[in-house]
Amino acid sequence: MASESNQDLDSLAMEFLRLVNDIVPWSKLSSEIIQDKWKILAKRVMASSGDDIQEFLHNIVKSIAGDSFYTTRGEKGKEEEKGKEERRRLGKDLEDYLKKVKSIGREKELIDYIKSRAIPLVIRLSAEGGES
Amino acid sequence: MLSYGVIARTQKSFDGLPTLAEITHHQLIVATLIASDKKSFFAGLLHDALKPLLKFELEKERRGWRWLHLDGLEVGGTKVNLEEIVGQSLSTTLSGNEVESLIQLIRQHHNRDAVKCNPITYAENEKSGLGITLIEATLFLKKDLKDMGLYTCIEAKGLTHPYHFFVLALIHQGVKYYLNKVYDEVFSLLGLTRLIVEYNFGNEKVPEIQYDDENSVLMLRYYVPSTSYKGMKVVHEYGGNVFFNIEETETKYVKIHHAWSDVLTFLISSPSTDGLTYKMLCIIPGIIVYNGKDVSTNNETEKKFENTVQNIVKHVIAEIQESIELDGSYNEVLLDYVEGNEQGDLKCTFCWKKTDRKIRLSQKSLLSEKFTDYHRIRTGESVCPLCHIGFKYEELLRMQGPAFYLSLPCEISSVEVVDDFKQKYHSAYGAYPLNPEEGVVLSVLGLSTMQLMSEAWYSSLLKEVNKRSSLPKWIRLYALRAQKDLRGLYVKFLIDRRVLIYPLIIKIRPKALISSYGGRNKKFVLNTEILEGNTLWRGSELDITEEQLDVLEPLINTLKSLPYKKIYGKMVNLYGLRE
Repeated sequence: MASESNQDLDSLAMEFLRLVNDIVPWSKLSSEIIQDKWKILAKRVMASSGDDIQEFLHNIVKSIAGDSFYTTRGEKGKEEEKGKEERRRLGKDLEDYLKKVKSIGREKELIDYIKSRAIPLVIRLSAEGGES
Repeated sequence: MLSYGVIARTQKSFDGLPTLAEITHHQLIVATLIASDKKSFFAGLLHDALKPLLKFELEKERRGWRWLHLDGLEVGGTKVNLEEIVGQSLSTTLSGNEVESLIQLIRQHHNRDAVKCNPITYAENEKSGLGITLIEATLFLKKDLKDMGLYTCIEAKGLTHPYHFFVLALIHQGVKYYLNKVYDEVFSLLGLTRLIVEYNFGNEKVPEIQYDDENSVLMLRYYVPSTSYKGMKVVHEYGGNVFFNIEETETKYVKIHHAWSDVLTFLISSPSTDGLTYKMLCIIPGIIVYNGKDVSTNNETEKKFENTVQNIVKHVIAEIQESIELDGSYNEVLLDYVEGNEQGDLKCTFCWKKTDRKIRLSQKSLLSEKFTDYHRIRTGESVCPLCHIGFKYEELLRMQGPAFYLSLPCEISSVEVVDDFKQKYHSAYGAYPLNPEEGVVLSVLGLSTMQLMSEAWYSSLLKEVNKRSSLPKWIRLYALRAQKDLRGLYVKFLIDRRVLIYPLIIKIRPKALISSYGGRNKKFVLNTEILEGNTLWRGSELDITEEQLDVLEPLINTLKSLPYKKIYGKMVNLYGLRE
């Protein structure tokens, strides 16, 4: 398991990838991309850069989907329960996330952590959705 | 985590620092050294049979912990009687007197005064005997390996080129295979064709010993007291016809197959002026002789064994050459080259070692599209024996693309003591008998256990593949495991690299000499490297490193409900392991 000092970074890294995955409109992309979704995501994370975490995220999303992206996402469990779609705002999630990252003050370190461990993080992300 | 076994000893002088040695491995090594008669051999196999009960007692006057494992030990409220455990089970193969004498040898083996009349004490005592325990507790030896019952089969020096390392790995495989046959023959004559050891974790219970006279099979059933691992079972099987292999037959049941030579031979590497030196060592069977009264070492047995090993090495070298139609060309000189000697006025095209043979290598092979490593070829038309063999094998296996490696003793990343063991002793005495604060004591003999741990990790990633019938039967080639060949255990161990040698959990850093990575689209190209540091396996996208696997670890706790085959598939795909 990740060492104690890396545990904070690890959970922030996973949260970051969840956000990227939600923001990228995968279903609107070509079937070839969808088929190789996790490999593409891992490679783009490794290849992208940014001065801060927001720019890093922006560059990853842009390199995968160009200028199109989602701003809201349906919440799975809640949709089924209430029979109507309840949507969460990704902008708000992103804002909360950025605040959290700033408060920890290890932004550069976090970017390095995500880039250098993109593959295992993406494998974990894919397993979370049951789509491993 | 891979559950492997139970520790064999601690280092008293360092306040309970554990020694990395497994209990069955330890007993088998001692038994092999004293395998000159049946009674001594079986005494060796059983002399520490009560150790897996892990009964420690704090002796205030001696200021330390004592690991109780002889008669008088209390298990479940009753005192253990060795006669009851051993007597009946071995009565079909040993006479009454022999059983009595065997029990005496076990009871007496800690008595230092018995060193001249007890073969086990002689094998273990470092002052007046061979001192195999010393070799288990240190890497820095005061004695010559030969004086400790070990024979150096091969000493490789000055290897510089991938082809050289490949040939060393080939010879190692062959010698290990035939040595297994030698050990099997010695043990069969003494009434043992198979050894089965069961570690049952849960409640403490007196060990059970069974001997099947008809098939010469000895079965030891240990009951290791542990609440954390209750219900877990680890089975070791040793024999003359098996290769190292790990099976997970059901949850909490692991079966590990060992060839005798997996434990009784091992490779150590040490730096020297010629670069790294690799020594392949093996235990000399029956070097200690017991005539019922006195113990001595048998020089004749030693010489006979040395001759046998030398003949094996010659035979292996001949088989290697035969398989690539170099019949006998290098019979006399190949071993010289492995040992770092070279001769001749010419220079090898590949490695620039001296050579006296002018050989035209097939231009077709060298210049066709198949040969990818042009940079290796220098000018000239001569090759040394090592490179010639490496080149020919590369040609032979090029289209097949298998992986080829030689596992090396792993390194230790971290050690921890299992909680239930700590609680048991901490609550009673305020300190526990094992103190891994400063790690574990690494040892020469422990290197065979450590080499097997590396082997276990690589065998969770790789599977043996069928090979050409023209190759010697002992050559083992590998490919990445397909999803259908996977077990949950393999994927979990691949990711977390933890081995349980109860009560220690050891996180390993596997090491190997990789000669070829193989892969579906790969050609068989010998490009040897020693994987050191963090890199464990190369991928075309990214290498698998300890750091990468550490990030995957949180998955393990949820693997039960997750499709581990798909996770492995994702690893193969994303790291590019097959390309």
